[in-house]
Amino acid sequence: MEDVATSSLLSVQEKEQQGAEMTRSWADLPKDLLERIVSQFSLDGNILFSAVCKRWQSVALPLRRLQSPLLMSFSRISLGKCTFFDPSDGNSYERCIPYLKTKTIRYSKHGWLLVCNSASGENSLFNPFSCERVELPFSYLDARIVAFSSEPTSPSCIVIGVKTFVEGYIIVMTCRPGAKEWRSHFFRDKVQFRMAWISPVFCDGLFYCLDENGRLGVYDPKLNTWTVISPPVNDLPEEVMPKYCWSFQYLVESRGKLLMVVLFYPDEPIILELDRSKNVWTSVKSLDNRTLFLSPSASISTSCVPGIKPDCVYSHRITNFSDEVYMKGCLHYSLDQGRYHPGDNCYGRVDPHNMWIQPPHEAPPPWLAGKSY
Amino acid sequence: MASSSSSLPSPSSSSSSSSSKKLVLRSSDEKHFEVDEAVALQSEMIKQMVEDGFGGDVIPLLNVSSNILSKVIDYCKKHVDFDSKKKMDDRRRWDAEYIDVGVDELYHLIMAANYRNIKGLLDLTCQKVADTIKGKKPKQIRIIFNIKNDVTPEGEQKIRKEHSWAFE
Repeated sequence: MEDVATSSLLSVQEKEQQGAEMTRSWADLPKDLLERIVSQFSLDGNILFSAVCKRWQSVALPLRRLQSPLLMSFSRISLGKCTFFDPSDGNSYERCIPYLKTKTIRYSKHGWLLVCNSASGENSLFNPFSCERVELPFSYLDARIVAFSSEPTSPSCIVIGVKTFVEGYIIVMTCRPGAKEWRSHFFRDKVQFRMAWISPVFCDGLFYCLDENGRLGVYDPKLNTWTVISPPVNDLPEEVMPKYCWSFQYLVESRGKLLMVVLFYPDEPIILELDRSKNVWTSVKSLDNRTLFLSPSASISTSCVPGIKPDCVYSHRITNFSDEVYMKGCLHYSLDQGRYHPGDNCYGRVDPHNMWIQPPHEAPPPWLAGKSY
Repeated sequence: MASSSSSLPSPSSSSSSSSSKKLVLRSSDEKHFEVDEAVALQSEMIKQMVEDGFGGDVIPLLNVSSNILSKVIDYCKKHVDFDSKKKMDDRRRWDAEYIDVGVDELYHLIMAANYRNIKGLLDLTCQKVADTIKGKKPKQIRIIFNIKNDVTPEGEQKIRKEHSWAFE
């Protein structure tokens, strides 16, 4: 009895105390909580949030500049039109980009596209936000997979294409932006490397190409060598991997590490990180607040983007053995919650060649930065 | 539901009546809550404490009052019941009703979820705060959350000027 009386008395006192604290408490919420909240907003929400009080502003400002990757779709490319879907707010933007009419878009990185014209053999690196263009040497680019290492304006940028040439050879084509011609490097293929339709990923100075049997072809542009490694999967039950074949896998570079993601809907995605010192895949349970955007031609890893959920895997493509559905928007899997979340306008079949592209953070194009909500 | 009793004896290690292991949590106002281990382990913090050998004793939660703790336990209980894949709609509906609370209670829930590290509840509470803020002007936000305006008029004017479209 006494106990109860004391405790209810206590709670009254406490309530009063809490009431007194309340004036400061929302403003003084721990930083990571405020970051979690503000990261739900797109740019306009972030701005309004930062006008509430100084402390909220100090949290919101550093997160403001980051733009979400956009899912670019080319279903109306024959009319010179592209659609950009923004997963942070569910908006879509159709842009008329006459240069892309009749072109094939093969790859994207740092906001640039690798663009080919298979009829004329003209190739270029093209920025759809600024419409800048860097010409590449002529070639009927018949490489199965293509990629480039860094921003085309950087002197270190190198473009590669990889293909199998008659049985027993792998050809790696390379060029620098602005060069006169491609160079072809022939490598003896002793292991019957069967290239997957997944773009190479440049990570720590090396290009990694995925094989249908889960092996990795590693091209070193400095030494001009091609090596095939077959990393075993550590700490995952044996039976897990063989169930999945190459068509459900993605490669992505994240914080200097190479990740492989197996997305077999509706199973939990498997995320593996390549340990280069031992050449083994180790499974990853948390992305440390990063978010992965996966598409076969281009995948991106980001963190702290307003409106984008951390520790999530975004994809526009749902695949399993019986189905292959491409979404107008995308869905995401939350590692924290252990489930998929359907995107807002995620239905309808669209061009499977959709790919993620990172718009510039510093000077986003007006149609994106000044979007009216 | 969360049975609260003011003076609960320490649980004997071989409790014969219940099939699953129980843990006893103590709120800041000295109330005791007996819960299934699975429910308590939704909290990463309690999980860590149990792994470190605190399991047999009463687990004190110094920053959480009994009324908030019982609400938090409701959440954890319900989420142990939910089958993670099949009942997504049920779960969403239940969550929405659960989180329909005033800002004071929301504040204590968010702090409790953060302190006890309950990921699901943390997501839910942060989402609720975000939803409450969404579409509102700074002035309205300050009133709702009882926040003192310490942005100088010039400072606010500057933000308005630079990003006038966001305020429209």
